[in-house]
Amino acid sequence: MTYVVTAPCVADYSCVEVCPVDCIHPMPDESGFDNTTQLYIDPATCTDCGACEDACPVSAIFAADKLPKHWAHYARINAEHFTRRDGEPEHV
Amino acid sequence: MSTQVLYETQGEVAHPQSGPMASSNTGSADETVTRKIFCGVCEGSCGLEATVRGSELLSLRPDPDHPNTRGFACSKGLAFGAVRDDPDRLLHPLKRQADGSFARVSWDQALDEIGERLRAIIAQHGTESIGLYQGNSVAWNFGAFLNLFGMAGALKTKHLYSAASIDINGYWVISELLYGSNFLNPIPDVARTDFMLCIGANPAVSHGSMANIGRFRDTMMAVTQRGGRVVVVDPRRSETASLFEHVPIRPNGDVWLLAALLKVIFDEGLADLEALREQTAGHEILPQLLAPLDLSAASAAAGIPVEQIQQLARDFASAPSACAYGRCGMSIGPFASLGKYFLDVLNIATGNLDRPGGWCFGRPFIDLETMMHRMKSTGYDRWRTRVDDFPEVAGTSPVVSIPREIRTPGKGQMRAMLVIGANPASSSPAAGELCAAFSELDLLISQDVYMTETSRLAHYILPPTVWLEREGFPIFTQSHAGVPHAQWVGPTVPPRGEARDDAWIMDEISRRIGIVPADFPGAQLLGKLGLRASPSFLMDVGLRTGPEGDWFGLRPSGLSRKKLMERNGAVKLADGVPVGVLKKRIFTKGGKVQLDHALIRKEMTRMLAFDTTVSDEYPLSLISLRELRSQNTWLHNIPKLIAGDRVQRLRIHPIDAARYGIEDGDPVEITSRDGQISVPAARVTDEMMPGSVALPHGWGHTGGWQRAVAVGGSGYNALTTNRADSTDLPSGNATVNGIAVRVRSLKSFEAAA
Repeated sequence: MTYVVTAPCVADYSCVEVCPVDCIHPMPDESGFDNTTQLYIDPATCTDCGACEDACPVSAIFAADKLPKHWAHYARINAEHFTRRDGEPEHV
Repeated sequence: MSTQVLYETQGEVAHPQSGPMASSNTGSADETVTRKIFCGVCEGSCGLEATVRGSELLSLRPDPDHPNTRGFACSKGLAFGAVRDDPDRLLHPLKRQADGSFARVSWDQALDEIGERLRAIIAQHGTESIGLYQGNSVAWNFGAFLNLFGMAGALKTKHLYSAASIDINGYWVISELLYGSNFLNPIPDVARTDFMLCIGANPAVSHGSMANIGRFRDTMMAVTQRGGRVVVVDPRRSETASLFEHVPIRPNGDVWLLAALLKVIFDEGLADLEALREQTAGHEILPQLLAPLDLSAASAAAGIPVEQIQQLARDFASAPSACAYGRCGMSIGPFASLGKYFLDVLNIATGNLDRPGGWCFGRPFIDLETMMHRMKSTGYDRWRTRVDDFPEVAGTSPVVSIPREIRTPGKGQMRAMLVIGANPASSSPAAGELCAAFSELDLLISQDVYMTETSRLAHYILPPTVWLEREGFPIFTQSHAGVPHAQWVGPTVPPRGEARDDAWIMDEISRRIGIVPADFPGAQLLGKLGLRASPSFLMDVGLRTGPEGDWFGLRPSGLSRKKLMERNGAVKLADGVPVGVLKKRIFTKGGKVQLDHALIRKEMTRMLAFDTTVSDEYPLSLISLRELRSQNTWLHNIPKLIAGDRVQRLRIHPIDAARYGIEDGDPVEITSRDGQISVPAARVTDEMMPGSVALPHGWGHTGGWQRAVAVGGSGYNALTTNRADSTDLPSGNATVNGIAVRVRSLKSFEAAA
């Protein structure tokens, strides 16, 4: 299981600050952070602690099995962020 | 005291815990309450929920029930509590000392001394020597807005300046010519359109300007999801452009593109002549106006192939509904007014004005356009400026003229200036010259929450409240909302320290020079009788007697300030923008859009003769860009908004980078005809169109905001000029985009050092 960042995200990165395993990207010192309008959780490293869900100011983070139906595809979008090649456009 | 009867707001602002408004909006000290408010950072004006305990702001979150923004807010607004609570914030009036340092003084001392010095200046040079300057933040500050225009009117001074003349003055000119009011501007009906053409705007990052489309990015995404198209025209593959079809364009090429699109539409018989006949007067001029335009010349100036322009014109004209929207990128070049004219004409000539999915008028809950039109506060070219002979725009003079108005002797020479919520020492063109001229003033006053590069030049710095601490309604963006709504809120939290509302400060200064900051007939006489109408009183009268008002009880379902303030949240007025309202809304002759103007013909001639070739000495074209976590000059002091390795970066295409020996991350030197700066890093990226480079403005701070100073960078406006002939001549708007520059890497110098 993992947590998933969904559409309301505004890349405020309150979640990055509380994540104990640094699985939310891009981090402020990574490329892409300046431009990204959403952050992503790496399902391979997420330990399911739920700290990010509480910290999110826009209620954009959900446990994968509790994703609202209309944002169900964000589980895939989060995972794909970590398999995309650099420079490839983000999902639309 | 009779003087306080109508000016009730002032008492409340000074003592927010005791006023009548406070009692309905402020909980007891230990009670935690949630209040629905709106954000005052940018033109998104997003609905927010503030959680407050006593005087403490616990959190800001998006308001899911806000009719327009529906649960959206961005990192800037959510972090704004940190501006209110910033340790670097100025909390007491300050007076500059002989040695240049600042000392804390009482409000009474500051205001009395300012009054005394202003009276002496007025005695010697007249009221017309007093200047006023408003920054962008005044757009969320109705009290300051009213008092500013009121002071200028009462003083009969031409020295009223607005940051709008480094941003959007062309809009104000064209809306006055076409629709009869500077502030009556149609917005794109993105929610219903089949085709959106977006020129020089980046709503995914800016969240919209002159178009308060809630959830702007999502609303644009929905266009393509329902089978429509969104085409983004920008020299940079911006965050918005990367989501849709992107057409790269040379900086300042937009006016050429728009003229060419129209020429194709008229030449190929694609214009909606019925709409033109029905809605406009003077449309016969258009084919004549466009006749001398050569498509290949336009193509070269825009950097877009002729065939692509032709196809875009056909697609736009044949879409069931379409809207062309353009903002900052096409508002700060040498033909900003003409470009805005063509933008509106493109919408009108394709039958999209005042139609679903087209170019529509909003539904403000306070009809400020009509109020200002009746009071003759709006207009164009009713007088000219003293030194540069610029036509006035909505009663203002352009910022480019300030140094010359300070330095040119004669009647009306500016001797004092009151700067409200603005940082022209960073944001104005040829900023160095402006700073030098400022230091020659007899009196400079800055109302600012920070010791900025502007306020450090002032004789007095007066600390204002921030939007969380004062009464407000979205005075500016209410006219542009995609989902029309009404909201009026009291102060969310009390002011910190001795901060006071800008409107109160301006009224107190006005009292000390014997004026009422109001420009309606009889205001000064009433003032002599001890009656001063407060901005909130005036706006409430405007609301209650207007189209959405309760007509003082005659229409109980209507709105009033009291009713809105008692409600915790915004009131939705309609699901979308109205259509079929043109004749009701515009102020021009016969209810028709006026298209034939000598000024436009003159500008077309000027454009056709304009040299668009690239110089060998300065081969690159510099544009500014908006960053996700920044807003003009003033959010660099918030740790959360400058996190990571945020530094000022010059974006440059790999081809140009290779040509000028620049590698990603290199410090670079940028040189224009007017100045030279160095910036900490280059970002080599193919998001730029070759030949153009982009740099965010508003960096390179000095003063007392320590983090903002520490993040470094350089002022964009060391590279720009304030020459009168460099501007968009009809509006005097500064040309700060498309600056010819050359660049070189400073890496070897760094290594040597």
